[in-house]
Amino acid sequence: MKRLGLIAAAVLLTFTLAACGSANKASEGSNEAAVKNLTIWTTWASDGDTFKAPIDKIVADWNANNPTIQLKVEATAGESYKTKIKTAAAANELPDIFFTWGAGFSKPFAESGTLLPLNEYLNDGTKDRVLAGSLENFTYDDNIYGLPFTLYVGTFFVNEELFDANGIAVPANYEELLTAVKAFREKGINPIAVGGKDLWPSMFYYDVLALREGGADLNLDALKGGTSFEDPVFVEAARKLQELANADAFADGFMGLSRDESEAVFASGQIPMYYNGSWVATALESDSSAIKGKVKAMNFPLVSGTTSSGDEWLGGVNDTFMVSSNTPHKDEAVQVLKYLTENLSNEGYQVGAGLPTWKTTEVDESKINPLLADLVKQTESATGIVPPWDIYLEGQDAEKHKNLVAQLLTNNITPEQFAKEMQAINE
Amino acid sequence: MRDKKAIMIFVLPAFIVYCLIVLLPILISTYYSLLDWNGISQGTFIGIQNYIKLFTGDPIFIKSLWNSILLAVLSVFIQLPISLILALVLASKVKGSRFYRTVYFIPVVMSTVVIGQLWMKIYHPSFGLLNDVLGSLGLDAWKREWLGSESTALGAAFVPIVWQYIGYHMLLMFASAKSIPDDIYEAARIDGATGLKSALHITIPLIKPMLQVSVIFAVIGSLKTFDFIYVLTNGGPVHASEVPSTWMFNNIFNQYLYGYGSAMAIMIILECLLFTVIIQKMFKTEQITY
Amino acid sequence: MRSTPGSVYKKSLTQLGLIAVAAVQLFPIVWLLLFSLKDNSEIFSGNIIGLPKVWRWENYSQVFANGKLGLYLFNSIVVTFVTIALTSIFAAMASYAISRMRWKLSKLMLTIFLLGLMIPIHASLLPVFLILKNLSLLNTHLALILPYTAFGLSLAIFVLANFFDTVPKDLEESAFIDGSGIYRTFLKIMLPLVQPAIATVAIFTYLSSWNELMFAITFINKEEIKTLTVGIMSMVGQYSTAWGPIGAGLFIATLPTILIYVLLNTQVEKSLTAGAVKG
Repeated sequence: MKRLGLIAAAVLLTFTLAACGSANKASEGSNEAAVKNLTIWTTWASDGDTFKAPIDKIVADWNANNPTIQLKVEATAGESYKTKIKTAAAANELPDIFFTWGAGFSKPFAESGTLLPLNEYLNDGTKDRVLAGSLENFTYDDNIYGLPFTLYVGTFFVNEELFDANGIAVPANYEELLTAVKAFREKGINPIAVGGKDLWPSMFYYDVLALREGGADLNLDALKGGTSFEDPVFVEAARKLQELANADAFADGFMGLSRDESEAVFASGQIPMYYNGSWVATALESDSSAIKGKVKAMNFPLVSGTTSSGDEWLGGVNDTFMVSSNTPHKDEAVQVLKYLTENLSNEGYQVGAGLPTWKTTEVDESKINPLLADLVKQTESATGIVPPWDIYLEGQDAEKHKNLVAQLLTNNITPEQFAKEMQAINE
Repeated sequence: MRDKKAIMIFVLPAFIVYCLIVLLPILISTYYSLLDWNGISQGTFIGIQNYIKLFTGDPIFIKSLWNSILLAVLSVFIQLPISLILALVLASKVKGSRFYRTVYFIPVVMSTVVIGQLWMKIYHPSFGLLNDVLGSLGLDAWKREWLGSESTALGAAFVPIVWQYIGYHMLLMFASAKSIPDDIYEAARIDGATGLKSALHITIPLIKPMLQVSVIFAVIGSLKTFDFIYVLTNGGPVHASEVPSTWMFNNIFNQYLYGYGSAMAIMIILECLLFTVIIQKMFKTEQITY
Repeated sequence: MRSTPGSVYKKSLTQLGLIAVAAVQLFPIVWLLLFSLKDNSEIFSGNIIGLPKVWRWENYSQVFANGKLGLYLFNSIVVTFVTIALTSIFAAMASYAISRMRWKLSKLMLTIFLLGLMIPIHASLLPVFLILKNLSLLNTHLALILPYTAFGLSLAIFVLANFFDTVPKDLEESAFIDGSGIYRTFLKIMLPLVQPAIATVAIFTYLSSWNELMFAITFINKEEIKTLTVGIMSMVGQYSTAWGPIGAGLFIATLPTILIYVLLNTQVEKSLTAGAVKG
């Protein structure tokens, strides 16, 4: 009898749960008449995410001031967020507004009609208030689908204390970089941090070398399918990357380390150089950082004899929020999108989460993360910016590019083979 | 017993849930596998093109298949024997059996996130336990970039997989060995069969059905292994440690090749089925010899 | 039994071996405890295995400071226990029919149920999502309970059918002769006999649902329904992650698992000895 009871209890529980589920739905429905509820998905679930506090504040402010349009944030952490939005998109279950990435990542989303085109909503001057070119990565077929809120640039982080302590000069060009690498190796210090397991961090090094060799215009042209990837500049960039790898420039075992793992060693002050996105600055300047105040943020060393100047950066505007074409409240959702991205741009810069993308930014400069403030100054004179290639290229091609860089680093292919395989993408 | 109504009543609850959540998705995936589809837009029907590409145009998939078969072999010939020995020893009235059984199971109950982190620390090229131990033993020449080098990544990633589930199979085998009635052992003891002899001639033949279960679980588990490879090497470096599930995940979610990835999923299922049938046949013929 | 010097020697050798294995198997949980008391700089560089230099108990207070921890725990418990109940009951019934009743398709049925173990789970993510959407179950406890139960059935039925196979037929037959109906025989005679197997199945079902992440992340958006593992993993940041508190959370989440294993295992033990006496 005891067991029968258990079965009965289980069945009962099942039905109660089912009832709860539908009850929730019903109550939501009845609210809708008076108040328009909008759901926003983000990937910032952790208090450690620098954009979490800003978005919480912005949403709270909005909700207090707009009783008829109420926002609700649902956060999903980590890589699984990507899996989740792709699945939700396939099933037509995207929320009204959601955090996502531009360029290659969202192209299938845009093409499938799951996204709301924003063109007609942006003629109120919005286009002039965001940084020039910052909508490019969110534009497909002349339709704009997202608004920017943060800009990042590939940044060469240098631990000046380690350089000074070992009497080595901070490199300004590629030759000096190679010299510094060898000098650190001789002292038994891992010269450059990189998380090769995640593929894109090592790709950053190739992409910036290609930028240095060929300049921004040529790089962009090649990515668009114009200039061939077999152009000598891309072969030379590959050769230089392999040269660095063969000089043991990268930390021991880097191909097996995640970005997290490799970055932590740099952040503990044991590695002098690291090239990655400017977002790293936040953690490096936090109170718990072991190298706070010892780091300089700069552009990647130049290559002499090329046209590329220090005013050309790898990077761009790629993080964004987009609106689902399914939302029942299109006007309101776009209104929220504008408010959200503009304020995130401001607040995010203020708390050191990233570089701003809206021109309206008014912040208390004295409280800004010094590394970011420095980067803002350095990028003010920027003449060209090239997105990391895996962002620009679409899924399959992006994956191929990252893997080809890995093969270069492990000496599985020659620079010429690399260039040839890359060009296969465009053919 | 041929009571049709009773059979229905007993099987239906499980079958309905199972059809809805397991069989139906397999059918849906089979359909996806016939499409050229990025997972979001409208797909195009292309027949068995994806399957043809799997075997003629994708060396990485073929390599990943072999990698997973290697893992299956390691599991059957290294993991299961260890589990069996532990199960037999613990089933033979040894002191502290219950304590050991609890402790041996601990790695199984821990989430792969934790075990993955642990092994990342063991293999860490600069601070890792393994290289430290080798160093202090004077074996510096044996130090490796375990997860970062193409020659060692696959083996290094397999060790935790094989290790974590030792306790799992031990539990299955132990439960089976324990359910053998004591009088059978008694009779054997009178005939002079104790210790190893009794294990070989009585326990192992009697728990053979459970051994078959273990072998099938171990092989299926190996063929679709995912978690550790994803955490430890992500299939790298340069696909050296790729297994079918990680490559499938990569195709579906990173490369937007949903149709092609689904074809991989169906191939994995077919491969598992094939191996299951083979194992069942092998156990059957062996049983006749007894 | 009298012990000869030889057997004493052998016994202590066995114990030595068992203790050595125990040390290896205990290592992960000890390591996790140490991990949970460190900060990132210790976790990632230098002191990744040893004792913490500073014992950071605040990692634990940080986990408990999350006001939703209790809610997540409650959800995990509801989902896991309903899953275990459903899986055990459904699987026991089905495997009884497959193993003990004579019908043409019983072997095929077993193989069909085995298919669930063979699916690469990521491939079924979208199909299951679509099915749950059509049933309007997304964002409910059932969105997890149903898939966990369905996928748990494979293993449960395979193990249970195997156990039913080993139960001697005469027990059942004598019950029938006594005039006991099929349902009564199942409940009163057969179920108690396979109790250890059910306990084993319960352990495995518990493990797979308690630690499951992918379905839990994808099918649930609402805070009110999120499970414990999802709650803990939501401490992973986009660009930086404090691993210490995550370790603390995972350590807390592992403790009930070990406790439940010990409890169920005792259950297995008890019923085994009880069965032996009866047999």
